[in-house]
Formats: sequence, structure tokens, C-alpha cells
Amino acid sequence: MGQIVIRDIGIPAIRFGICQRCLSADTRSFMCHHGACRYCRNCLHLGRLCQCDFLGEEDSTTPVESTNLVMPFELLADQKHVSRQLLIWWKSQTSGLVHAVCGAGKTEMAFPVIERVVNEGKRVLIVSPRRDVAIEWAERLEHAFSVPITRRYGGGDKDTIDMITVATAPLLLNLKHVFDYVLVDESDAFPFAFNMALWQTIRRAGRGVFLFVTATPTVWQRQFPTIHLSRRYHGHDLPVPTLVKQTDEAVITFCRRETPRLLFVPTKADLVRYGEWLEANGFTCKAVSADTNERTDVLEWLETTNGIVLATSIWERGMTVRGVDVAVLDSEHVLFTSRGLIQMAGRAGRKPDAPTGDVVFFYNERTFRQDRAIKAIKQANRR
Amino acid sequence: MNCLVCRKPMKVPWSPATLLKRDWVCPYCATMLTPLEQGCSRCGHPTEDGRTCDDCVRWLALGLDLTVRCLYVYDEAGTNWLHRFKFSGDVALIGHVADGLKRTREPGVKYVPIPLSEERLLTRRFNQADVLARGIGPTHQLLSKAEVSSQRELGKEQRRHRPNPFAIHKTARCEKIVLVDDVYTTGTTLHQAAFTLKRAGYEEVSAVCLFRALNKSKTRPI
Repeated sequence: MGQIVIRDIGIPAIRFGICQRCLSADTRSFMCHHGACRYCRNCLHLGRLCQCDFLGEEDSTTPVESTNLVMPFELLADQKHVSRQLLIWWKSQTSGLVHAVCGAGKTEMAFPVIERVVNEGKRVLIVSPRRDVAIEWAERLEHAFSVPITRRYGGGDKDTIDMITVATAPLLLNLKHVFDYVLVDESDAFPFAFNMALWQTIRRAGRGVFLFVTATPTVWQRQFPTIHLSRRYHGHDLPVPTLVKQTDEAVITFCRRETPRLLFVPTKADLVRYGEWLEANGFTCKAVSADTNERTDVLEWLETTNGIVLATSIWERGMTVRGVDVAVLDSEHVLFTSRGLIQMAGRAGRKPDAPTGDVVFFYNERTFRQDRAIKAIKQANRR
Repeated sequence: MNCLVCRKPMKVPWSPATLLKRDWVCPYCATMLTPLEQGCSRCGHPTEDGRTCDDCVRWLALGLDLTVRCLYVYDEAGTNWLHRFKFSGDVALIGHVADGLKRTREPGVKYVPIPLSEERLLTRRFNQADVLARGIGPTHQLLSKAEVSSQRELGKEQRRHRPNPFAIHKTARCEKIVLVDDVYTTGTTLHQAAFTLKRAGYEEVSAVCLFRALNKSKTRPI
């Protein structure tokens, strides 16, 4: 019922070499002031946990408030259908999966159910895979809701828990059974996919009702009752990728376009390689990877100057550029899963005033992953 | 296997040692810390043609002769590394510098870590110099330290003129003593500790230090 804190009395912090806060086995022995001891390396960012510490629980929730909701825009018929379904799921306390295509307005669809949950005096958690996505969520929620939003990501406040919390997964480690409704955004993205420990922490932070929201659910997530939304909110089709054999001329022809161009490459080494190659051919481009600190600046630069940006898969989710053309270089690379390719294709044509965009998969070899991605996009367009 | 420092997955080269070694550092992290090149023969600070630096001239004028072997430059990466090691308490990071420390080991030497005061030890839970010294060789806790304020915010002049906080904790018979500390900024701490030991009758005292803070301007000492 609250935050797990270090106390003088309680359960031992590390038992059998397993950290009881983050459940990781990466504990190391060292000489504490009293002798041999162990500490956990996995949750150092929450303060070091030593074997000689004890864990207790502390109620850090704020008093219950009610909220009013101001919708940023009127929901369309499709979206209303989904949000009605979410309310039904909440009423029957079932977990569910929203399988909505990229750019369907997933954020706003969840607002009615969040309002309902909060007004019933329950707490809501929104988990997002990355910090910039969390910031965007928090800003949109702040505009729509009258209650304060807790920001539980790196740089936010981490002391109290209000009615609505926006968080990244690593900062949920010390919460236990707090949130009655947990919305997992982009639930197949990097930290969540195949990481059962993170799923365990999210499950421990929640109280049993979850909502997964994604465009590309994993097999595991499909076990939950699913609702589909296969139309973007502006009603246009998803751009279907074209497969083009990767030759120098083909890539240069793509780069000669006037629109903003976003080129995805598999690894950071490729970022440098293709960057130099494009410079040699007389293009100016910027590179974006997980190490780039000012990613939003690059985004603005791309939108305003119609430039070229080389990106790793860090940008495959949660970013929108007006009228962008997307290319995936070396799309046969193992790191480009079919789900990743679908997400990258979904970067194009997200704005209502520029609803189309070109998506090109450059290939050296054909793979089933490319075919599966194209098939899934076509299927969503038919639905 | 994950890298010890950045904790990202890395490929481990296969050799018989693969089964025995636990702390692997990826090639990117291995070059993170800058090793100190040849400089002042006494403290390792980079100087032209290896002459004694002005800081050390000042110490020699006071009649204090102490050779300090410094390993890495205390630059941006070094500061972050030490912050993780010391204040976040990630003791396992010692595996990153263990090879460099091991190389300074000499036979027949007792390594004496610079102590922490009692209060500081209770809050930090471990002595970072002690961890480093254990990484080199056999240690002996000969010194004790009275509670003094932290030096972190002090300027160079205030750092130099401080009363000696060190006292002899216990005595031991050893030929040669090497003091171990984490950062050498002005050298006050190490020189005070060496002074205390020499006054107690230990003949040969030298020091090993993990980081050397460089002077802002190359000409003028700190």
C-alpha cells in the first residue's frame, strides 16, 4: 500500500542475494562499515540498498480529489466506440488491449476512462517507455485535467503520488499496490518487451487492472480482450511501404526530395557511416540516437528546414513530423523486427493537413519481417 | 554478459579466463578514463619535459618529500566515475580500474588507506580509499581521522591551511608504506598523512592515488 522505503525495522532488504526492492539478482558483496555485506546494483538510482538495511512501506499518497475533464477536441465515432469499451472494461475490472494504428489519437481516447477512475477515488498510472514520451503525456494531461499530475520520470518529483501519475518504468520499482488503473503506453517498446522483471514491477505497482495500448501487440499481449482501431483520426489510409532495392542511386534519389526526410538505420555505427556517405554526396544531415541529448531540437530543425535526419530505432515511436517521408535503410537487418518496421512506417502522414507520406524500405535482401510488416499495414487499411 | 560500467549487453571474448572473470568492461567504457601521461616525477601532473611541477616545488620547500603515483586524469569522465563510486556507492566499479591498480603493486609493501572519520564512515558505509587499497595489495589501517568539514567546496588557499586531522591509530612493523587515496587535488591530505606517519617513525612513505586533478592553467598551480 505505498512506497517501499528504507527503514530501521521491516523486512531485510536483500535476501538470498535477491534485492527485495527491484527483485534483481545483481547484488555484489563489499565491505560495509560492520563487515561483509551486499548491495544491489540494479536500483542504485533510488538510493543504495544494502543488506543491513530494512524495507518498510510508507503511505505517500495524497488525499483523494475529484477532477473535471476538458477534452481537447471532440472524439470521432471510432474513438468514442473505443473509449466506451474502455469504460465497460473498467466497470467489469478487466484488463484489456487497445490495438490502434499509429497516429489514431490513442492519448485522447483514454481520457474519459481516466476521468471516471479518478472521480471514483481511484489512482491512475500511465507508464511510458521513454522520458520524452512521458513528458508529452504529462503536458497533454495537464491541459485536460484539473488535478495535479505527478511526474515520476528522471527529473520529476518523486515524493508524493497524486491521483494521476505519469512514469517511466524504472522509477516504479519502489511502489507496491498503489494504482487501481494502469495504462501501459507502447507496451511492446524496448524496456517492456521480453523483460519480465519490468512487467513484474508494473504488476506490483498496480492492483490488477491494466490497459495495454499499442499499434503492434506482442503475442503475449494478445491474450487480453482486444479492441481494434484501424483508422487514423483524419480518416486516411496508412501509407503502405514500397520495397526498393538499395542502390546508391535509389537512396540519393530519395534524399533529393523537398520534404523532411527521415532515414532509419539499424545501428549507431551505421549512423556514422551513412552520415559520412551523405555528406560526401553533398547533403547536410543530422544524426539522432539514444546518446543525442537535444532530440526535440533536431525534431524542430527537421520540421522547419525540410532537412534530412538519420535516426536509429529510438525514434520509431512517439514522434510526429509534418509531411515527413520515411526510409528504412538496410531494412533486412535483424534489429528491424516487423513490429519496428510497422512503427517506422507509422511515422509518415500523421497530421490531418498532411495525411500522406512516402515510406520506402530499402533492402539488400528480402526478409519475412518486411513482408509481415507490409501485410499487417495492408490488413489494417482493409479493416 | 553485461558491461560492468554501462550495464549494456556485450560480447565476451572466449578464452579459458572467460569462466573465471566476472567483471567485463566493454571497449567503449574501457577507454572512458584518461590515463595520466608522463609528467612531474613527484605527482604525475603533466609538465614540459618532465620537470617537477610548481605545486611540488612548494611542498619540497616545506621539507615534505612524498612521491605520489597517480593513475588517471580527474576530468569530466573521471568526476562522473568517482561520483558513482563514492557517493552513489557502486563499489563494484573497482573492477574497472582493478588492472591499473594491480600494476602499481610492489612486493613487501603495506598499503595504508586514508581513513574516514567515524561519522562519515557511518553515513557512507564504506571507505573508498580502503576499497582501492584492497584492490592493490595487503592493507593496514594505521591512521585515524578526526571529524573535519568536507573539502569539496573549499578553495585552494583554505584547503592548504588546515590543521592536521590525522593521528596514529595503531602501530605495526613494516618496511615500506604506501598511502592510498582517491583524488589528489592540492595534496594536502596525503602530505598531512605522510607527515604523521613519518613523525611516528616510519621511514619510507610514498603514495598511490587514483585521480590527479589538473590545474586550470598549465603555468600557475592551483
